[in-house]
Amino acid sequence: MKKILSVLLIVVLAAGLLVACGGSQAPSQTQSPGATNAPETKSPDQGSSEKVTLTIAIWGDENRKKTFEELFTGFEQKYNCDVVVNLVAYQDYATKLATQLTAGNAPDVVWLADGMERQFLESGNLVDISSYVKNDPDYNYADFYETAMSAITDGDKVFGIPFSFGPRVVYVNKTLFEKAGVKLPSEYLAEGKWTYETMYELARKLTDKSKGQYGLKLWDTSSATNYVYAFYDLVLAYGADYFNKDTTDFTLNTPEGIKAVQAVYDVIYKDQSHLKPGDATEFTAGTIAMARSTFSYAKTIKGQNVDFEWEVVPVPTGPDADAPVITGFAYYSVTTNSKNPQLAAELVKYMTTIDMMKTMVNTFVAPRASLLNSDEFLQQEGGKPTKEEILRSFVAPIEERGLRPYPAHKNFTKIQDQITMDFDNYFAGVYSSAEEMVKAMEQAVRALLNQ
Amino acid sequence: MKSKSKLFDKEQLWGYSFISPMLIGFIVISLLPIIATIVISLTNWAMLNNDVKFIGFENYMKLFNDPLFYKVAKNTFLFTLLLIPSNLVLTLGLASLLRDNFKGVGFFRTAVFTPVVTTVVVWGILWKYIFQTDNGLVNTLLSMINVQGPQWLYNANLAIPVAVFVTLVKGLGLNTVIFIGAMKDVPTMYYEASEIDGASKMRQFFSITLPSIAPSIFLVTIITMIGSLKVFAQIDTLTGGGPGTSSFVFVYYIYQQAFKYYNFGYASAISAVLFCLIVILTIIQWKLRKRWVYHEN
Repeated sequence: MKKILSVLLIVVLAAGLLVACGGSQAPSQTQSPGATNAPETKSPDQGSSEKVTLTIAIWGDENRKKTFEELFTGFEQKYNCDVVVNLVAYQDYATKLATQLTAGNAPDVVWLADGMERQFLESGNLVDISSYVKNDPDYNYADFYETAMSAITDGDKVFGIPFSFGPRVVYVNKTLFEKAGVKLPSEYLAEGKWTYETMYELARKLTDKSKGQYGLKLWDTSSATNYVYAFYDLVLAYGADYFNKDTTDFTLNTPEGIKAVQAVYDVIYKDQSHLKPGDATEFTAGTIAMARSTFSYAKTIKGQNVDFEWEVVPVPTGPDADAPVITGFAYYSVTTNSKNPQLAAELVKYMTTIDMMKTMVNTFVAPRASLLNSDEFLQQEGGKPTKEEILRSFVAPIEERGLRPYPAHKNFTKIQDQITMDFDNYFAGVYSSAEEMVKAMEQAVRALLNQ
Repeated sequence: MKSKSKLFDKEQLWGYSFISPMLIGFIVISLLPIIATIVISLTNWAMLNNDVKFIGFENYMKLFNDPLFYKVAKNTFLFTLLLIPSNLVLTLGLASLLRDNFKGVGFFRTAVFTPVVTTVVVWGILWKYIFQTDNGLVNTLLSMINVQGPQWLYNANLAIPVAVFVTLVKGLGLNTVIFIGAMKDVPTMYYEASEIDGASKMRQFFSITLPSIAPSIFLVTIITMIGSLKVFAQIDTLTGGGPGTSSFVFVYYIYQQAFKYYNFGYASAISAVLFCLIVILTIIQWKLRKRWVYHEN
């Protein structure tokens, strides 16, 4: 009996091991970059008795997953299908998706952001959904900002629809300003004097080290940061740019570029009015006078019931007062692994109609022109930010100076890492001056641009 | 004779049956991936690139001409060289203190062992907050005595030592327990005889304890060495390889190449080199053990 049990145990263990290690599907058929990838234009098979299951991968937390599961209910009823939401940590998202695409088991619908869209589009992993979104007048495809579509289109083909974008704004702790008796940034804005120089000056005034109080937080100093995105609007405001127009050359090594970099360094190490890299203090702690962040950060502030008054102002202007508003976009896309690309394309369309985007506006601001002036967007939950704050800090800069997407390049991940490493080294004292850092950066980035 | 042979065959079969789960696990989880890594290292495979070609030793040639590879090797060896001696000295000291049963010893043993059962990522994040630049615990304490603490995790010279410290505190408990066990096995008559001869406690430690527990010291040294050459999570959570590349270590570099840039061919070549390095260093230590491990069954 003992022997029989032992044999059974061994078989179970061995089988378990094999099952655990198996399960991967055969790789999908390869598709060359730029292949049509269009799903057949027939309508989803609504009459079929077999219930189809679509999967969608999102990042965020359990609350977001729950919100989306509820939003998909209407779609599930309409098309007699199930939509399964997979939650993936953002830092693992691109890697996981690349692995799944290689293994042939990627979700039907995915979210893409921060350069992922070009990577997966150019490797031929996304489906052209233009026939679903362009031919429906009610959908109003033309309502999306053209700049938002540039990274996800190829000629007439559309490989995704943007659902979120994040120009930065500045959050101001009014209580700290009032206690210090200092004029508010909104007052400088009204006077037309809201510039980076003014912001740095106010930061110096509001810094009180004895209270652990800082004047400014330009970016999330708590962890390794992509400094290309973190400083891009600032660099443009100073009349400089990291790259030329077609991203074939590095152009930060100019007097304007060096001045922009030097200004960031000075506010941290000379004025000591900015948190140092490695400091995890949040604006919500109430000890930071001004913090630059995305518009969606307002939700975090509201969620934490902070015990101070706050307001939102636009990012200040610099020597180039007409610098465009630069931002990244997040997209819905259908993968070539999808067994139901037509239904998946319908799901993307369903989630990106103007009505759906209005219901989501407290979570994601979509780059639809009509959305930015809608009541749903201008009347945020709890009345904060106020309509006036939204118009002056978010809508007006876009309408007055235009939108610009972050640049794209096949080596962009490596280029971002290189720029980030050089800034890191500058802040760590490895480079003795902004000129030295920018020169080293120029040499390394040019090599990557030409690879 | 015939029946004996049959019995032997049957016993062998049972033996193999019992080790088969481990054997299958080893083949599937270790051996096959090692072979696959070596094969992939001879290709240009990038995850999203379906045009995979056999490129011979090109990845290895590129590797030996890559200045970052040498920096990564230097950082990893620095990490190992700092960790092994400090680990041995501290754990031997702690084991000597916690070996005897005195009132409250359980508390101290638990305190030393607790970090071992903490997830390494949680441990890394926790220490990241402790070593925060201005508002971290360490620099706050330093500011109380009017000392401005450095940017612990944003300093090219401090990043590796801080990562070593964090790893050291996390792993102390396990090695201490190994040494306590080994010390308890040393026959008390040796100490009694040496006491009669007038040997001091220090003399007893160096002449009796250390030689008697040499196999355990050998084991701990090998485990710590392999662990340091494979260090990743602490670096990832504490410094992210930075500032710049000042705390890039082998596995972090492999991770970056494979899972950020999708250069699986190149990452596999680095993995293969690291694998060979660990094997060679382990063999050297294994050979050397005959010179300094006296009490071995």
